Amino acid sequence: MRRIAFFTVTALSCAAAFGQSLLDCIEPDVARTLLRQGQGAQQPPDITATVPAELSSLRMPREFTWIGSAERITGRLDATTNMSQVTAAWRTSLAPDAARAATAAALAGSGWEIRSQPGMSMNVFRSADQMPQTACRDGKPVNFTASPMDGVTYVLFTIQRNNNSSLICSQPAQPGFVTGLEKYTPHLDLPVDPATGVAVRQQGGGTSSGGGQINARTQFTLQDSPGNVARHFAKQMAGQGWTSDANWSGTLTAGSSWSRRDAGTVLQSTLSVTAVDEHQFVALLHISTLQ
Amino acid sequence: MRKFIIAVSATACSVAALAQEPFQCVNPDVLNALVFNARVESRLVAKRTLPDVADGYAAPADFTLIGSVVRGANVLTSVGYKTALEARKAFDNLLQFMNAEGWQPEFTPRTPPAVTVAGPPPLAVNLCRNGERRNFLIRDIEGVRYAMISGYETSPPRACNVPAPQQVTLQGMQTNPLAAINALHDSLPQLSFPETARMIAPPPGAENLNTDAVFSVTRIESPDTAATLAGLLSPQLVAQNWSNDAKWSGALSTGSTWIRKTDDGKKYWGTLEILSLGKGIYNVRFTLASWAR
Repeated sequence: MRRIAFFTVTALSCAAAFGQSLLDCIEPDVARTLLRQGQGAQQPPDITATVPAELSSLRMPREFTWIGSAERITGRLDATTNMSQVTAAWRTSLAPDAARAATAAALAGSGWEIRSQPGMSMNVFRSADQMPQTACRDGKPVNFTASPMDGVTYVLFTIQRNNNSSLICSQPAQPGFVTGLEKYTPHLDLPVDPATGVAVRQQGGGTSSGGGQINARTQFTLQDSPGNVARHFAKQMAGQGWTSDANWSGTLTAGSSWSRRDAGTVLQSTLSVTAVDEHQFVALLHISTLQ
Repeated sequence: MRKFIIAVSATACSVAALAQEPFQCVNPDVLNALVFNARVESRLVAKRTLPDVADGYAAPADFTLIGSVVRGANVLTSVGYKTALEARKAFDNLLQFMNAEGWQPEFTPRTPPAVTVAGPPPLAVNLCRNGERRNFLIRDIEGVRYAMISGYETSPPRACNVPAPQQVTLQGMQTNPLAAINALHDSLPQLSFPETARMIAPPPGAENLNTDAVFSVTRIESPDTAATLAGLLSPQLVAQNWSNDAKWSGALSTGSTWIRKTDDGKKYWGTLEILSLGKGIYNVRFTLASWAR
Protein backbone atom coordinates (compact mmCIF):
# COMPACT_ATOMS: atom_id res chain seq x y z
CA MET A 1 0.00 0.00 0.00
CA ARG A 2 2.82 2.32 0.91
CA ARG A 3 4.52 1.54 -2.41
CA ILE A 4 1.35 2.33 -4.31
CA ALA A 5 1.00 5.58 -2.41
CA PHE A 6 4.64 6.45 -3.08
CA PHE A 7 4.45 5.80 -6.82
CA THR A 8 1.11 7.54 -7.12
CA VAL A 9 2.35 10.65 -5.36
CA THR A 10 5.58 10.60 -7.39
CA ALA A 11 3.67 10.26 -10.62
CA LEU A 12 1.31 13.06 -9.70
CA SER A 13 4.17 15.29 -8.58
CA CYS A 14 6.04 14.73 -11.82
CA ALA A 15 2.89 15.06 -13.97
CA ALA A 16 2.04 18.30 -12.24
CA ALA A 17 5.43 19.56 -13.29
CA PHE A 18 4.39 19.07 -16.90
CA GLY A 19 1.36 21.36 -16.61
CA GLN A 20 -0.30 22.45 -19.86
CA SER A 21 2.71 23.60 -21.85
CA LEU A 22 4.69 20.85 -23.50
CA LEU A 23 7.90 22.51 -22.28
CA ASP A 24 6.84 22.94 -18.66
CA CYS A 25 9.01 20.04 -17.53
CA ILE A 26 12.11 22.04 -18.41
CA GLU A 27 13.55 23.80 -15.38
CA PRO A 28 12.96 27.58 -15.52
CA ASP A 29 16.69 28.37 -15.46
CA VAL A 30 17.29 26.07 -18.43
CA ALA A 31 14.28 27.44 -20.31
CA ARG A 32 15.41 31.04 -19.77
CA THR A 33 18.98 30.44 -20.90
CA LEU A 34 19.81 27.30 -22.89
CA LEU A 35 16.45 26.90 -24.61
CA ARG A 36 16.41 30.57 -25.58
CA GLN A 37 19.41 29.93 -27.79
CA GLY A 38 16.97 28.30 -30.18
CA GLN A 39 14.70 31.33 -30.18
CA GLY A 40 17.11 34.20 -30.70
CA ALA A 41 16.15 37.23 -28.70
CA GLN A 42 12.48 36.45 -29.00
CA GLN A 43 10.27 35.39 -26.19
CA PRO A 44 10.04 31.62 -25.90
CA PRO A 45 7.10 30.20 -27.83
CA ASP A 46 3.96 29.06 -26.10
CA ILE A 47 3.91 25.35 -26.92
CA THR A 48 0.79 23.34 -26.16
CA ALA A 49 -1.06 20.24 -27.32
CA THR A 50 -3.91 22.38 -28.64
CA VAL A 51 -4.88 22.20 -32.31
CA PRO A 52 -5.12 25.80 -33.60
CA ALA A 53 -8.69 26.91 -34.26
CA GLU A 54 -7.74 27.67 -37.86
CA LEU A 55 -7.06 23.96 -38.43
CA SER A 56 -9.80 22.49 -36.27
CA SER A 57 -11.72 21.20 -39.28
CA LEU A 58 -8.66 19.64 -40.92
CA ARG A 59 -8.74 15.86 -40.98
CA MET A 60 -5.23 14.51 -41.41
CA PRO A 61 -4.79 10.91 -42.65
CA ARG A 62 -4.17 8.22 -40.07
CA GLU A 63 -0.49 7.98 -41.04
CA PHE A 64 0.00 11.35 -39.32
CA THR A 65 0.38 11.78 -35.57
CA TRP A 66 -0.43 15.06 -33.90
CA ILE A 67 2.48 16.64 -31.96
CA GLY A 68 1.37 20.07 -30.81
CA SER A 69 1.40 23.75 -31.68
CA ALA A 70 3.61 26.72 -30.88
CA GLU A 71 2.68 30.39 -30.93
CA ARG A 72 5.42 32.99 -31.29
CA ILE A 73 4.84 36.70 -30.92
CA THR A 74 6.12 38.44 -34.05
CA GLY A 75 5.11 42.03 -33.40
CA ARG A 76 2.29 44.31 -32.37
CA LEU A 77 -0.77 45.20 -34.36
CA ASP A 78 -1.78 47.96 -31.96
CA ALA A 79 -1.42 48.83 -28.31
CA THR A 80 -3.43 45.83 -27.16
CA THR A 81 -3.06 43.23 -29.90
CA ASN A 82 -0.04 41.12 -30.72
CA MET A 83 0.71 39.70 -34.13
CA SER A 84 1.85 36.11 -33.90
CA GLN A 85 2.81 33.07 -35.91
CA VAL A 86 1.34 29.73 -35.00
CA THR A 87 3.07 26.52 -35.97
CA ALA A 88 1.15 23.25 -35.86
CA ALA A 89 3.05 19.99 -36.21
CA TRP A 90 2.32 16.42 -37.21
CA ARG A 91 4.78 13.59 -37.69
CA THR A 92 4.62 10.73 -40.15
CA SER A 93 6.76 7.90 -41.41
CA LEU A 94 5.89 8.86 -45.00
CA ALA A 95 8.69 10.30 -47.13
CA PRO A 96 8.58 14.12 -47.47
CA ASP A 97 7.13 14.08 -51.00
CA ALA A 98 4.42 11.62 -50.02
CA ALA A 99 3.72 13.53 -46.81
CA ARG A 100 3.42 16.77 -48.76
CA ALA A 101 1.01 15.18 -51.23
CA ALA A 102 -1.06 13.58 -48.46
CA THR A 103 -1.23 16.88 -46.60
CA ALA A 104 -2.35 18.72 -49.72
CA ALA A 105 -5.04 16.08 -50.29
CA ALA A 106 -6.19 16.35 -46.68
CA LEU A 107 -6.43 20.13 -46.96
CA ALA A 108 -8.33 19.88 -50.24
CA GLY A 109 -10.67 17.33 -48.71
CA SER A 110 -11.33 19.66 -45.81
CA GLY A 111 -12.26 22.65 -47.96
CA TRP A 112 -8.92 24.34 -48.62
CA GLU A 113 -7.75 25.32 -52.08
CA ILE A 114 -4.10 24.53 -52.73
CA ARG A 115 -2.32 27.44 -54.33
CA SER A 116 0.69 26.41 -56.35
CA GLN A 117 3.59 28.78 -55.98
CA PRO A 118 4.35 30.24 -59.38
CA GLY A 119 7.06 28.14 -60.96
CA MET A 120 7.29 25.71 -58.07
CA SER A 121 6.52 22.66 -60.21
CA MET A 122 9.30 23.77 -62.53
CA ASN A 123 11.98 23.85 -59.87
CA VAL A 124 14.76 21.55 -61.02
CA PHE A 125 16.95 21.50 -57.93
CA ARG A 126 15.24 20.51 -54.73
CA SER A 127 16.46 20.28 -51.17
CA ALA A 128 15.00 19.21 -47.87
CA ASP A 129 14.28 22.87 -47.35
CA GLN A 130 11.35 23.05 -49.70
CA MET A 131 9.41 26.19 -50.37
CA PRO A 132 6.24 26.13 -48.29
CA GLN A 133 3.03 25.43 -50.09
CA THR A 134 0.01 27.61 -49.48
CA ALA A 135 -3.62 26.61 -49.02
CA CYS A 136 -6.52 29.06 -48.81
CA ARG A 137 -9.89 28.88 -47.16
CA ASP A 138 -12.27 31.74 -46.50
CA GLY A 139 -9.63 34.07 -47.90
CA LYS A 140 -7.06 33.09 -45.27
CA PRO A 141 -3.78 31.33 -46.01
CA VAL A 142 -2.04 28.50 -44.25
CA ASN A 143 1.45 27.43 -45.32
CA PHE A 144 2.79 23.94 -44.93
CA THR A 145 6.10 22.13 -45.33
CA ALA A 146 7.23 18.53 -44.97
CA SER A 147 10.79 18.14 -43.73
CA PRO A 148 12.80 15.06 -42.81
CA MET A 149 14.61 14.92 -39.49
CA ASP A 150 15.84 11.98 -37.44
CA GLY A 151 14.26 9.45 -39.77
CA VAL A 152 10.72 10.84 -39.65
CA THR A 153 8.95 13.55 -41.61
CA TYR A 154 7.51 16.56 -39.83
CA VAL A 155 4.65 18.40 -41.45
CA LEU A 156 4.53 21.94 -40.15
CA PHE A 157 1.66 24.35 -40.76
CA THR A 158 2.24 28.03 -40.19
CA ILE A 159 -0.57 30.50 -39.67
CA GLN A 160 -0.24 34.25 -39.23
CA ARG A 161 -2.57 35.75 -36.64
CA ASN A 162 -3.58 39.41 -36.71
CA ASN A 163 -1.37 39.94 -39.72
CA ASN A 164 -3.22 40.45 -42.97
CA SER A 165 -0.23 41.39 -45.10
CA SER A 166 -0.48 38.26 -47.26
CA LEU A 167 -2.76 38.79 -50.25
CA ILE A 168 -2.18 35.42 -51.85
CA CYS A 169 -5.66 34.14 -51.02
CA SER A 170 -7.45 37.25 -52.23
CA GLN A 171 -5.88 37.11 -55.66
CA PRO A 172 -6.74 34.72 -58.50
CA ALA A 173 -4.53 31.66 -58.77
CA GLN A 174 -1.48 32.23 -60.93
CA PRO A 175 -1.16 30.00 -63.96
CA GLY A 176 1.94 27.86 -63.93
CA PHE A 177 4.65 27.85 -66.57
CA VAL A 178 3.55 26.73 -69.99
CA THR A 179 6.64 26.03 -72.04
CA GLY A 180 5.91 22.55 -73.29
CA LEU A 181 8.99 21.35 -71.45
CA GLU A 182 7.32 20.76 -68.09
CA LYS A 183 6.95 17.03 -68.53
CA TYR A 184 10.63 16.64 -69.34
CA THR A 185 11.94 18.83 -66.56
CA PRO A 186 14.01 16.72 -64.19
CA HIS A 187 13.77 17.14 -60.44
CA LEU A 188 17.16 16.78 -58.81
CA ASP A 189 17.48 16.33 -55.06
CA LEU A 190 20.54 17.95 -53.54
CA PRO A 191 23.14 15.55 -52.14
CA VAL A 192 23.61 14.42 -48.56
CA ASP A 193 26.65 15.95 -46.87
CA PRO A 194 28.87 12.99 -45.89
CA ALA A 195 30.23 15.08 -43.02
CA THR A 196 26.81 15.50 -41.40
CA GLY A 197 24.65 12.79 -42.98
CA VAL A 198 22.05 15.44 -43.72
CA ALA A 199 20.78 16.62 -47.11
CA VAL A 200 22.26 20.01 -47.93
CA ARG A 201 20.02 23.03 -48.20
CA GLN A 202 19.82 25.40 -51.12
CA GLN A 203 21.43 28.75 -50.48
CA GLY A 204 19.94 30.34 -53.55
CA GLY A 205 19.00 29.57 -57.09
CA GLY A 206 15.93 29.06 -59.15
CA THR A 207 14.57 27.98 -62.50
CA SER A 208 13.66 30.12 -65.48
CA SER A 209 12.32 29.21 -68.88
CA GLY A 210 11.48 30.68 -72.22
CA GLY A 211 12.32 30.37 -75.90
CA GLY A 212 12.46 26.59 -75.77
CA GLN A 213 15.00 26.63 -72.97
CA ILE A 214 15.12 25.99 -69.26
CA ASN A 215 17.91 27.29 -67.07
CA ALA A 216 18.17 26.18 -63.46
CA ARG A 217 20.72 27.03 -60.85
CA THR A 218 21.38 26.12 -57.25
CA GLN A 219 24.12 26.87 -54.78
CA PHE A 220 24.92 25.03 -51.58
CA THR A 221 27.67 24.20 -49.11
CA LEU A 222 29.01 20.65 -49.05
CA GLN A 223 32.21 18.86 -48.08
CA ASP A 224 32.64 16.78 -51.21
CA SER A 225 34.26 16.86 -54.63
CA PRO A 226 32.70 18.30 -57.82
CA GLY A 227 32.94 14.85 -59.39
CA ASN A 228 30.91 13.23 -56.63
CA VAL A 229 28.30 15.96 -56.76
CA ALA A 230 28.02 15.65 -60.54
CA ARG A 231 27.64 11.88 -60.25
CA HIS A 232 24.93 12.34 -57.63
CA PHE A 233 22.90 14.44 -60.07
CA ALA A 234 23.76 12.22 -63.05
CA LYS A 235 22.18 9.18 -61.39
CA GLN A 236 18.95 11.13 -61.02
CA MET A 237 19.01 12.35 -64.62
CA ALA A 238 19.42 8.76 -65.81
CA GLY A 239 16.60 7.67 -63.52
CA GLN A 240 14.28 10.26 -65.05
CA GLY A 241 14.56 9.16 -68.64
CA TRP A 242 17.59 11.12 -69.83
CA THR A 243 20.31 9.42 -71.87
CA SER A 244 23.93 10.14 -71.06
CA ASP A 245 26.03 11.64 -73.85
CA ALA A 246 29.26 12.60 -72.09
CA ASN A 247 30.62 13.46 -68.69
CA TRP A 248 33.69 15.23 -67.34
CA SER A 249 35.48 15.85 -64.11
CA GLY A 250 38.24 18.38 -63.48
CA THR A 251 39.75 19.93 -60.39
CA LEU A 252 37.01 22.46 -59.79
CA THR A 253 34.39 21.56 -62.37
CA ALA A 254 32.48 18.43 -63.31
CA GLY A 255 29.38 17.71 -65.27
CA SER A 256 27.54 15.71 -67.85
CA SER A 257 25.66 16.10 -71.10
CA TRP A 258 22.30 14.44 -71.76
CA SER A 259 19.72 13.94 -74.46
CA ARG A 260 16.12 12.91 -74.56
CA ARG A 261 13.85 12.06 -77.49
CA ASP A 262 10.08 11.94 -77.32
CA ALA A 263 7.56 12.06 -80.20
CA GLY A 264 9.75 14.09 -82.50
CA THR A 265 11.05 16.34 -79.76
CA VAL A 266 14.78 16.20 -79.17
CA LEU A 267 16.08 17.77 -75.99
CA GLN A 268 19.63 18.32 -74.91
CA SER A 269 20.70 19.07 -71.39
CA THR A 270 23.99 20.07 -69.84
CA LEU A 271 24.57 19.75 -66.12
CA SER A 272 27.61 21.52 -64.72
CA VAL A 273 28.91 21.57 -61.17
CA THR A 274 31.50 24.11 -60.06
CA ALA A 275 33.33 24.35 -56.75
CA VAL A 276 33.45 28.14 -56.56
CA ASP A 277 35.00 28.27 -53.11
CA GLU A 278 35.92 25.93 -50.30
CA HIS A 279 32.90 23.64 -49.90
CA GLN A 280 30.79 26.09 -51.90
CA PHE A 281 29.12 24.71 -55.02
CA VAL A 282 27.07 26.09 -57.86
CA ALA A 283 25.21 23.68 -60.12
CA LEU A 284 23.63 24.71 -63.41
CA LEU A 285 21.28 22.76 -65.62
CA HIS A 286 20.54 24.00 -69.11
CA ILE A 287 17.88 22.31 -71.23
CA SER A 288 17.17 23.29 -74.82
CA THR A 289 15.08 21.97 -77.65
CA LEU A 290 17.20 20.98 -80.62
CA GLN A 291 15.68 22.13 -83.90
CA MET B 1 3.84 9.81 7.44
CA ARG B 2 1.97 11.17 4.40
CA LYS B 3 4.00 14.37 4.55
CA PHE B 4 7.13 12.29 4.69
CA ILE B 5 6.11 10.27 1.63
CA ILE B 6 5.24 13.42 -0.32
CA ALA B 7 8.51 15.04 0.66
CA VAL B 8 10.52 11.99 -0.32
CA SER B 9 8.69 11.54 -3.61
CA ALA B 10 8.94 15.22 -4.50
CA THR B 11 12.67 15.05 -3.80
CA ALA B 12 12.92 11.90 -5.90
CA CYS B 13 11.12 13.65 -8.73
CA SER B 14 13.43 16.65 -8.54
CA VAL B 15 16.54 14.49 -8.33
CA ALA B 16 15.32 12.46 -11.30
CA ALA B 17 14.78 15.67 -13.26
CA LEU B 18 18.23 16.99 -12.40
CA ALA B 19 19.92 13.70 -13.23
CA GLN B 20 18.80 13.85 -16.84
CA GLU B 21 20.03 16.20 -19.53
CA PRO B 22 18.30 19.60 -19.66
CA PHE B 23 15.84 18.91 -22.50
CA GLN B 24 15.48 15.18 -21.91
CA CYS B 25 12.06 15.43 -20.30
CA VAL B 26 10.55 16.90 -23.47
CA ASN B 27 9.06 14.73 -26.19
CA PRO B 28 11.71 14.70 -28.96
CA ASP B 29 9.03 15.40 -31.58
CA VAL B 30 8.04 18.56 -29.73
CA LEU B 31 11.64 19.73 -29.74
CA ASN B 32 12.31 18.78 -33.36
CA ALA B 33 9.10 20.15 -34.81
CA LEU B 34 8.10 23.07 -32.61
CA VAL B 35 11.37 24.34 -31.16
CA PHE B 36 13.84 23.51 -33.95
CA ASN B 37 11.25 23.85 -36.79
CA ALA B 38 12.36 20.53 -38.28
CA ARG B 39 15.73 22.03 -39.21
CA VAL B 40 18.76 19.98 -38.33
CA GLU B 41 20.97 23.04 -38.21
CA SER B 42 18.73 24.56 -35.53
CA ARG B 43 18.97 21.59 -33.21
CA LEU B 44 20.36 22.30 -29.76
CA VAL B 45 22.20 19.62 -27.86
CA ALA B 46 22.19 20.52 -24.18
CA LYS B 47 24.06 19.15 -21.20
CA ARG B 48 24.56 20.17 -17.61
CA THR B 49 28.32 20.57 -17.86
CA LEU B 50 30.66 22.90 -19.70
CA PRO B 51 31.17 22.16 -23.43
CA ASP B 52 33.88 19.68 -24.40
CA VAL B 53 36.09 22.59 -25.40
CA ALA B 54 35.59 24.71 -22.30
CA ASP B 55 38.21 27.39 -22.94
CA GLY B 56 36.60 30.81 -22.76
CA TYR B 57 33.35 29.62 -21.24
CA ALA B 58 34.28 29.67 -17.54
CA ALA B 59 32.90 32.27 -15.12
CA PRO B 60 33.87 33.52 -11.67
CA ALA B 61 32.83 31.70 -8.51
CA ASP B 62 29.76 33.85 -7.93
CA PHE B 63 28.19 32.43 -11.10
CA THR B 64 26.45 29.04 -10.91
CA LEU B 65 26.62 26.85 -14.02
CA ILE B 66 23.23 25.90 -15.50
CA GLY B 67 24.51 23.99 -18.54
CA SER B 68 25.66 24.35 -22.11
CA VAL B 69 24.17 23.95 -25.57
CA VAL B 70 25.69 23.36 -28.96
CA ARG B 71 23.68 24.33 -32.01
CA GLY B 72 23.99 22.43 -35.28
CA ALA B 73 27.43 21.09 -36.17
CA ASN B 74 29.26 23.21 -33.58
CA VAL B 75 27.97 26.36 -35.25
CA LEU B 76 27.28 28.01 -31.92
CA THR B 77 28.18 27.04 -28.37
CA SER B 78 26.54 28.71 -25.39
CA VAL B 79 26.94 28.30 -21.65
CA GLY B 80 24.35 29.49 -19.17
CA TYR B 81 24.95 30.70 -15.60
CA LYS B 82 22.82 32.29 -12.91
CA THR B 83 24.03 34.66 -10.28
CA ALA B 84 22.75 36.51 -7.26
CA LEU B 85 24.77 39.59 -8.22
CA GLU B 86 22.99 42.72 -9.40
CA ALA B 87 23.06 42.94 -13.24
CA ARG B 88 25.69 45.66 -13.63
CA LYS B 89 27.89 44.07 -10.99
CA ALA B 90 27.52 40.69 -12.69
CA PHE B 91 28.49 42.23 -16.03
CA ASP B 92 31.56 43.96 -14.58
CA ASN B 93 32.71 40.85 -12.70
CA LEU B 94 32.39 38.59 -15.71
CA LEU B 95 34.07 41.09 -18.02
CA GLN B 96 36.94 41.51 -15.57
CA PHE B 97 37.29 37.74 -15.30
CA MET B 98 37.42 37.27 -19.07
CA ASN B 99 39.77 40.24 -19.53
CA ALA B 100 42.15 38.50 -17.13
CA GLU B 101 42.00 35.46 -19.42
CA GLY B 102 43.01 37.59 -22.39
CA TRP B 103 39.59 38.29 -23.94
CA GLN B 104 39.30 41.87 -25.13
CA PRO B 105 36.23 43.79 -26.30
CA GLU B 106 35.71 43.94 -30.05
CA PHE B 107 33.34 46.29 -31.80
CA THR B 108 30.94 44.60 -34.18
CA PRO B 109 28.19 46.53 -35.96
CA ARG B 110 24.84 45.13 -34.96
CA THR B 111 21.54 45.16 -36.73
CA PRO B 112 18.56 46.00 -34.56
CA PRO B 113 16.50 42.96 -33.55
CA ALA B 114 13.35 42.32 -35.55
CA VAL B 115 11.34 41.83 -32.39
CA THR B 116 11.74 43.91 -29.29
CA VAL B 117 11.00 42.41 -25.92
CA ALA B 118 9.68 44.45 -23.04
CA GLY B 119 12.13 45.14 -20.26
CA PRO B 120 15.59 46.63 -20.01
CA PRO B 121 18.06 45.72 -22.75
CA PRO B 122 20.61 43.06 -21.79
CA LEU B 123 24.15 44.03 -20.85
CA ALA B 124 26.23 42.49 -23.61
CA VAL B 125 29.74 42.62 -25.04
CA ASN B 126 31.66 40.97 -27.87
CA LEU B 127 35.11 39.67 -26.97
CA CYS B 128 38.01 38.38 -29.01
CA ARG B 129 41.28 36.60 -28.29
CA ASN B 130 43.70 35.38 -30.97
CA GLY B 131 40.94 35.37 -33.57
CA GLU B 132 38.53 33.42 -31.37
CA ARG B 133 35.33 35.09 -30.37
CA ARG B 134 33.03 35.00 -27.39
CA ASN B 135 30.17 37.22 -26.46
CA PHE B 136 28.28 37.34 -23.25
CA LEU B 137 25.17 39.00 -22.00
CA ILE B 138 23.57 39.48 -18.64
CA ARG B 139 19.80 39.29 -18.65
CA ASP B 140 17.35 39.79 -15.83
CA ILE B 141 14.37 37.50 -16.20
CA GLU B 142 11.67 37.47 -13.56
CA GLY B 143 14.07 38.81 -10.98
CA VAL B 144 16.86 36.33 -11.68
CA ARG B 145 20.15 37.36 -13.29
CA TYR B 146 21.44 35.05 -15.99
CA ALA B 147 24.71 35.15 -17.91
CA MET B 148 25.09 33.54 -21.33
CA ILE B 149 28.56 33.13 -22.82
CA SER B 150 28.48 32.19 -26.50
CA GLY B 151 31.20 31.28 -28.94
CA TYR B 152 31.12 30.90 -32.69
CA GLU B 153 33.66 30.35 -35.41
CA THR B 154 34.12 32.95 -38.09
CA SER B 155 34.47 31.57 -41.56
CA PRO B 156 36.99 32.27 -42.92
CA PRO B 157 39.06 32.78 -39.73
CA ARG B 158 39.54 36.46 -38.98
CA ALA B 159 41.93 38.22 -36.62
CA CYS B 160 40.56 40.28 -33.76
CA ASN B 161 39.33 43.76 -34.68
CA VAL B 162 39.34 42.96 -38.38
CA PRO B 163 35.91 43.82 -39.75
CA ALA B 164 33.87 40.99 -41.17
CA PRO B 165 33.96 41.01 -44.96
CA GLN B 166 30.94 42.55 -46.56
CA GLN B 167 28.30 39.92 -46.99
CA VAL B 168 29.01 38.83 -50.52
CA THR B 169 26.37 37.04 -52.46
CA LEU B 170 27.40 34.80 -55.28
CA GLN B 171 25.79 37.28 -57.60
CA GLY B 172 28.16 40.01 -56.51
CA MET B 173 25.05 42.02 -55.70
CA GLN B 174 26.82 44.40 -53.40
CA THR B 175 27.42 46.44 -56.54
CA ASN B 176 24.98 47.69 -59.11
CA PRO B 177 23.53 44.52 -60.70
CA LEU B 178 23.36 46.18 -64.11
CA ALA B 179 27.02 47.13 -63.80
CA ALA B 180 27.82 43.53 -62.81
CA ILE B 181 26.03 42.21 -65.90
CA ASN B 182 27.75 44.72 -68.14
CA ALA B 183 31.09 43.73 -66.66
CA LEU B 184 30.33 40.10 -67.45
CA HIS B 185 29.41 40.92 -71.03
CA ASP B 186 32.70 42.78 -71.38
CA SER B 187 34.55 39.75 -70.02
CA LEU B 188 33.25 37.27 -72.58
CA PRO B 189 36.14 35.86 -74.60
CA GLN B 190 36.45 36.70 -78.29
CA LEU B 191 36.44 33.50 -80.35
CA SER B 192 37.06 33.19 -84.08
CA PHE B 193 35.93 30.26 -86.21
CA PRO B 194 37.98 28.92 -89.11
CA GLU B 195 37.29 30.36 -92.56
CA THR B 196 35.58 27.16 -93.60
CA ALA B 197 32.84 27.80 -91.03
CA ARG B 198 29.74 29.76 -91.96
CA MET B 199 27.56 31.56 -89.48
CA ILE B 200 23.97 30.42 -90.09
CA ALA B 201 22.30 32.95 -87.87
CA PRO B 202 23.84 36.16 -86.65
CA PRO B 203 24.98 35.84 -83.07
CA PRO B 204 22.14 37.02 -80.84
CA GLY B 205 24.55 38.61 -78.41
CA ALA B 206 25.01 37.47 -74.88
CA GLU B 207 21.97 36.61 -72.82
CA ASN B 208 21.75 36.87 -69.07
CA LEU B 209 21.30 33.78 -66.96
CA ASN B 210 21.26 35.89 -63.80
CA THR B 211 23.25 38.84 -62.60
CA ASP B 212 26.27 36.57 -62.15
CA ALA B 213 26.20 34.54 -65.36
CA VAL B 214 25.71 35.23 -69.06
CA PHE B 215 25.93 33.06 -72.12
CA SER B 216 26.37 33.51 -75.84
CA VAL B 217 25.17 31.06 -78.50
CA THR B 218 26.21 31.05 -82.14
CA ARG B 219 24.93 28.62 -84.76
CA ILE B 220 27.42 27.69 -87.44
CA GLU B 221 27.80 25.28 -90.32
CA SER B 222 31.23 23.71 -90.66
CA PRO B 223 32.87 20.77 -92.41
CA ASP B 224 34.92 20.17 -89.29
CA THR B 225 33.99 17.82 -86.50
CA ALA B 226 33.02 19.17 -83.09
CA ALA B 227 36.30 17.89 -81.70
CA THR B 228 38.24 19.78 -84.38
CA LEU B 229 36.30 22.97 -83.68
CA ALA B 230 36.94 22.55 -79.95
CA GLY B 231 40.63 22.06 -80.72
CA LEU B 232 40.65 25.33 -82.65
CA LEU B 233 38.85 27.35 -80.01
CA SER B 234 40.78 26.11 -76.97
CA PRO B 235 44.09 27.82 -77.86
CA GLN B 236 42.20 31.09 -78.28
CA LEU B 237 40.91 30.79 -74.73
CA VAL B 238 44.38 30.00 -73.45
CA ALA B 239 45.68 33.08 -75.28
CA GLN B 240 43.04 35.13 -73.41
CA ASN B 241 44.37 33.91 -70.04
CA TRP B 242 41.87 31.13 -69.52
CA SER B 243 43.06 27.88 -67.89
CA ASN B 244 41.46 24.60 -68.85
CA ASP B 245 39.96 22.53 -66.03
CA ALA B 246 38.17 19.68 -67.84
CA LYS B 247 37.02 18.62 -71.28
CA TRP B 248 34.63 16.09 -72.80
CA SER B 249 33.52 14.70 -76.12
CA GLY B 250 30.22 12.95 -76.68
CA ALA B 251 28.06 12.17 -79.70
CA LEU B 252 25.98 15.28 -79.10
CA SER B 253 28.08 17.51 -76.89
CA THR B 254 31.76 18.42 -76.97
CA GLY B 255 33.17 20.95 -74.61
CA SER B 256 35.51 22.17 -71.96
CA THR B 257 35.46 24.14 -68.72
CA TRP B 258 37.73 27.09 -68.01
CA ILE B 259 38.86 29.36 -65.19
CA ARG B 260 40.36 32.83 -65.47
CA LYS B 261 41.80 34.89 -62.62
CA THR B 262 42.25 38.60 -63.11
CA ASP B 263 45.02 40.71 -61.65
CA ASP B 264 42.63 42.14 -59.08
CA GLY B 265 41.81 38.67 -57.81
CA LYS B 266 38.48 38.22 -59.54
CA LYS B 267 37.71 34.74 -60.79
CA TYR B 268 35.64 33.84 -63.85
CA TRP B 269 34.28 30.45 -64.83
CA GLY B 270 33.68 29.53 -68.43
CA THR B 271 32.03 26.58 -70.15
CA LEU B 272 32.48 26.11 -73.87
CA GLU B 273 30.04 23.65 -75.38
CA ILE B 274 29.61 22.64 -79.00
CA LEU B 275 26.35 20.85 -79.72
CA SER B 276 26.23 18.75 -82.88
CA LEU B 277 22.84 19.23 -84.53
CA GLY B 278 23.68 17.07 -87.56
CA LYS B 279 24.61 17.83 -91.18
CA GLY B 280 27.58 19.90 -90.07
CA ILE B 281 25.50 22.31 -88.03
CA TYR B 282 26.62 23.27 -84.55
CA ASN B 283 25.45 25.43 -81.69
CA VAL B 284 28.51 26.93 -80.02
CA ARG B 285 27.69 28.18 -76.56
CA PHE B 286 29.95 29.91 -74.08
CA THR B 287 28.69 30.42 -70.52
CA LEU B 288 30.54 32.92 -68.36
CA ALA B 289 30.01 33.27 -64.64
CA SER B 290 31.58 35.23 -61.83
CA TRP B 291 30.78 33.31 -58.69
CA ALA B 292 34.02 33.65 -56.82
CA ARG B 293 34.03 35.69 -53.61
